[in-house]
Amino acid sequence: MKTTTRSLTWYILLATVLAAAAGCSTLQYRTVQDRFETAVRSDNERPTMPFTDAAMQYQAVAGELTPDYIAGLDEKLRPNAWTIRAVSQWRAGEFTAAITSALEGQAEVTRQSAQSPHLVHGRDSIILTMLPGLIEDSRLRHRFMESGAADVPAYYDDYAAKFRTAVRALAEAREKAAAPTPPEVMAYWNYQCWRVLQNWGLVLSHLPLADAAEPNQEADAFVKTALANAGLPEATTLPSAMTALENALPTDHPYHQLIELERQRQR
Amino acid sequence: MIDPNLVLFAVEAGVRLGRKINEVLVDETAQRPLLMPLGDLFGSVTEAEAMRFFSVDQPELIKPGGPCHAIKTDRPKLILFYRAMRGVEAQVVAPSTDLNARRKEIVGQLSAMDQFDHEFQAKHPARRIFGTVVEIGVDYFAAHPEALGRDSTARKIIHAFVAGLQDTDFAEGAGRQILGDLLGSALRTLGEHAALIDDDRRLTVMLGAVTGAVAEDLRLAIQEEDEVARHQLFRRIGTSLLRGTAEAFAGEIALFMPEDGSARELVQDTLSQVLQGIKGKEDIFTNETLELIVKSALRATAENTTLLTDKKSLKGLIQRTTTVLADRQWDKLFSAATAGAVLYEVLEVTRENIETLLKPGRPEEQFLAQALAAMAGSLSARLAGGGSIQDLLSRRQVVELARVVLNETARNPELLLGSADTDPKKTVLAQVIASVAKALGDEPTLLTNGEGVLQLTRVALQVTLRNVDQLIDADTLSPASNLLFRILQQIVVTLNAAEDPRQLISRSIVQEIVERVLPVVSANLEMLEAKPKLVAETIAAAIELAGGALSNRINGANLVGLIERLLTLVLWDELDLDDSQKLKEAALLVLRAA
Repeated sequence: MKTTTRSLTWYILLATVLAAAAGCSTLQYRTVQDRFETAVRSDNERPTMPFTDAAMQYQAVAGELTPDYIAGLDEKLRPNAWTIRAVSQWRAGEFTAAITSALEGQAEVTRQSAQSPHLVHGRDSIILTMLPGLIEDSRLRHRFMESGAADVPAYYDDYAAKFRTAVRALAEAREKAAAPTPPEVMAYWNYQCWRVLQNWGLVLSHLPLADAAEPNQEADAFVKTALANAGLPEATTLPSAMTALENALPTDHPYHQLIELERQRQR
Repeated sequence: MIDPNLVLFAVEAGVRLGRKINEVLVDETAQRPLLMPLGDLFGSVTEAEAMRFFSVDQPELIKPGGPCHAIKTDRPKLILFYRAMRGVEAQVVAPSTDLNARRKEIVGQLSAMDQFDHEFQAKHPARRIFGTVVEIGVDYFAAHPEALGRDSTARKIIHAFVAGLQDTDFAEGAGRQILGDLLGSALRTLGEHAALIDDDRRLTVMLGAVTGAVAEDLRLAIQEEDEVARHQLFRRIGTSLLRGTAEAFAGEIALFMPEDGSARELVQDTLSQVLQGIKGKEDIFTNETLELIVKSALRATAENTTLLTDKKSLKGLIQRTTTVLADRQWDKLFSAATAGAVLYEVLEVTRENIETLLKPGRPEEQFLAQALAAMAGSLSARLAGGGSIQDLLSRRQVVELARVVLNETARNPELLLGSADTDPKKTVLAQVIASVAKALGDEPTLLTNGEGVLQLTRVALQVTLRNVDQLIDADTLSPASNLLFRILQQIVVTLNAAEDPRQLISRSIVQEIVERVLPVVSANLEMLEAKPKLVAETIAAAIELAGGALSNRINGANLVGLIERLLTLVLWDELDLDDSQKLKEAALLVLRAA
């Protein structure tokens, strides 16, 4: 009887190990997630630690997550893999590729949503939908840094058009939020939306003061419409939208504290 | 030499476990919390605010003559001015090194984001793998019952229990504790059904169906975020579910034949419908009544193909009935003590009369629930004394009255209740009960009691059904316009007012008079048009004879027959009550014949 039990256990263990071996690609993928997390930490600390090269770390992550690699993963992992690839490309400055990845990721979410309806409301889906907006914002930042503030009066319409695109993408992402969406994802959305609006306000601030009223009012009107559909009815102007987004974050939340900190910087 | 079946089992179990581990790993990786980048700002918040302030909010400040006109192109100075105006200068502008340190500290507090809110995340990995281990155990014990110990009732029950569980996926479910409770209940309660215990296939079907129904109900409850309440319910009624099912199986052993493979589905569906049917109203059922209900529902389903094919009928029937039973306005009539018994009567009457009561494709026609609502509404009308007729009825009599009403309804549903959209108060059933209640007056206890009300209602229903159009005025809500009421009232008022020195008019005589008089009057209405008080006058005349001229000939035994015969003669216009000699002669003839 003892021998039988020992043999039985041995067979079960052997079959378990063999069947579980299919999980090797998943274990390897977890190391990519780890590297992505490291890159994000470096990125977020960059303003205070100027010598870190987050962009290179992101490039390495995106380079590993090729479309073929993603196709080889268990299908449940693919939306997450596209998210990590798209975010990495965004932060590495590979904007066009990042948008392609974000769209691929959204398509994957849509494809799987028939089996898993709540996937649409999950973190990856919402971030994939936000990404085109965040990428437009980064493109504008590059342009702003390269061309300088003096470029703004001549090309403000281009800036405004891209900011509108960015806000629309964020509003679209906000509409996907539902019961399965974790509160932390909503906090991230609030912060990113606040950041994009702040950047728009900053660009507006570089218009000649005497000519700035009308563009500001146009921005207000757009923000009011776009964000009312995204569940922010109190956002009647660009500044009030920023206040509403800030107020939506608990005062002790790190994003709220970051906003307060930014207010303390003189320039 | 190792058993090859055992090797195959081990390999299969190992593969299942390995697959589950892999599946759990994938889910855990896909839902792994992740940190996301913050992104960049183009410049300072204050700068943007300040410039908007001068261009949109206070443009006059930078216009010629304004205090800032001279510095309108000097951004740093404008920002300083703005800060001063807003009164924020004092509290800000910490050294940038401090701000950087603070930022680093805040960024360090950022937490990784979950994929889904915790309620939508995959269950804890250990729990999920444990579920599969349990499933493997179930498979093992089903294949190797000898592993459970010596040949005993408990072994048979456990064997049947795990065999019945094989089609129930509870690896991901939240109901393992409940399943444990059910097994405990099975061990405690099934020992008394020896025939069932010895029939292992039937036992397997039964236990599988009960656990399957519970698992399915819990799955729905989780979807509806109602799992906590449902969990509590099953801990309370699990034993009743099992006992009721076992009673049905043991009592009707031929009804649940496992051969055709549909027995488990039939039982599970029925239990699911019962559970869904009582949902939200569970508190009005005791464990005992629930046991009866389960048993009755199973017998009803097994005996009737309508319930088999239309899987929502039973649920609809129970749901509509429990809605009536739980209606707060009828608290006094249908309490926790009677609701279960009444629902049991509903199921029993349905079982016996399925063809007239449940019509495929017409779920809106829930005659028995309608009948109960009509009955409750009619009995709850307030009397002048402050009470209502229902106060006369004991719990047993309420159930008995319900049985009378339900049986009559089952025989003549359309006649008693009209169509589904008929106002419940206008139905013949409601009018009959209300007529009886109203006719008994404000002091009904003078002439009758709960038992009497029950009998009077039964007679009134039976007589009315043979002459509905004449006795009930279907156009009005008030029972006072019904001929039935007027006849009953004449009887009651006359008996109440009668001088009865010999005390012949007891409660049982009243009931007997109604039982004998009502059919006679109903069959001979012609004379009542010309002389509407004939019933009262005849009863009064008979009582007067009993107290006077024929006091030595009339007693409690022949008084009722005398009234019935005299009334027949009067209604056929063969006797004039004003002619006292003829009246006496007719009475003597009747008494002699009796």
